[in-house]
Amino acid sequence: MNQRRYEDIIRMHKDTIYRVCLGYIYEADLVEDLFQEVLIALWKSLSTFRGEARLSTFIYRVTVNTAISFNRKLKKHHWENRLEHSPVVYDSPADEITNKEELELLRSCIRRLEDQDRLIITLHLEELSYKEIADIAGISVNYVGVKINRIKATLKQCIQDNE
Amino acid sequence: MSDWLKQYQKAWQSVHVENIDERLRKLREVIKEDQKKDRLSTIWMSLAFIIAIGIILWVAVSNNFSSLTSWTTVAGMVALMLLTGFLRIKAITTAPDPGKPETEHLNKLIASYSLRLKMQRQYLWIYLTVLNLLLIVFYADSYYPENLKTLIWATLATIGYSLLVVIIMNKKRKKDIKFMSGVIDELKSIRRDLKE
Repeated sequence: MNQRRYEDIIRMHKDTIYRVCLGYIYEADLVEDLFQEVLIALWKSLSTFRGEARLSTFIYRVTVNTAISFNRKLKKHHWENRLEHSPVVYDSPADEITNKEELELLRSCIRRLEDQDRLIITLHLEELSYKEIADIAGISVNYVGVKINRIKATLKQCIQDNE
Repeated sequence: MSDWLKQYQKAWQSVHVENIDERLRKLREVIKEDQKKDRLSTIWMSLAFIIAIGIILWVAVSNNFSSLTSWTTVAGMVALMLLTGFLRIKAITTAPDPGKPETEHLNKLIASYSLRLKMQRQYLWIYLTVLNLLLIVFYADSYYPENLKTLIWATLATIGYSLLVVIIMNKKRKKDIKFMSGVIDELKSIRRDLKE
């Protein structure tokens, strides 16, 4: 994989990669670290992409796998204690404030979910189909549907409780 | 997707990866706006101080200084020192306009916001206590011992008013503290990224 092609791919997908990291890890510094790790993992693995799946699915899969192993490493280092640290928040134009408040609330509810549920809802928020989520998460399409319904109910309750 | 989740999805999808230049540009706008508000609040605060000292002087002059002791003079001096100190700290802590993304410049901004944060968290209480003491000394000098009732009422009213201001302003104070902590975190994060 030449560098130019890699940069083009990253430029196209960086926002979605970042949001998956954001959904999986709560603490701002750690999100940045995970994002960097995903970029490295993609640099190493993109050359193995043979076009059997869509490129975006491949990228999501690498991101998810990197996030899972990153989380495993963190748990060994008792990262749970860091969850109380809030990510960067500062005032910006009015519409951004609303978005930020909603985003923070959503993230604070997502972080309470199980590891796999965090990934599933993150991919759902990225508007991936049930089939794609099933492929990435390694579960059946039906189970994705069941899971998403349950997660939505949990999130709705959490958001109502914290609004 | 459910309607309620769509609303949150919009916020979710508004998240983008920003490079240092973009982050600095956004932060620059935020800091510029904050400086404007800070300058305005300094003007109001100074005006309030000047009016308070003016009233004390006016009462003193109209009484031919007859009933006033050296305590009022001391209190007046303390008030002036407080105002000077307040303006001096404001001058130091008014964050310079962030220009180039240089670590040294970021350090100055971080120091400036850290000092302001400290002022909000700790010095505000010292400032309010001194201001209250100053007014109570002035009342005591003016009314004691002839008019004890007025002295008590004036003291209670002043303390009550200060507490009311603290309660009303508490929400804004917490918001300011959160804002400043956020700016400091972001500045530190940019500085760290620049070093890397």
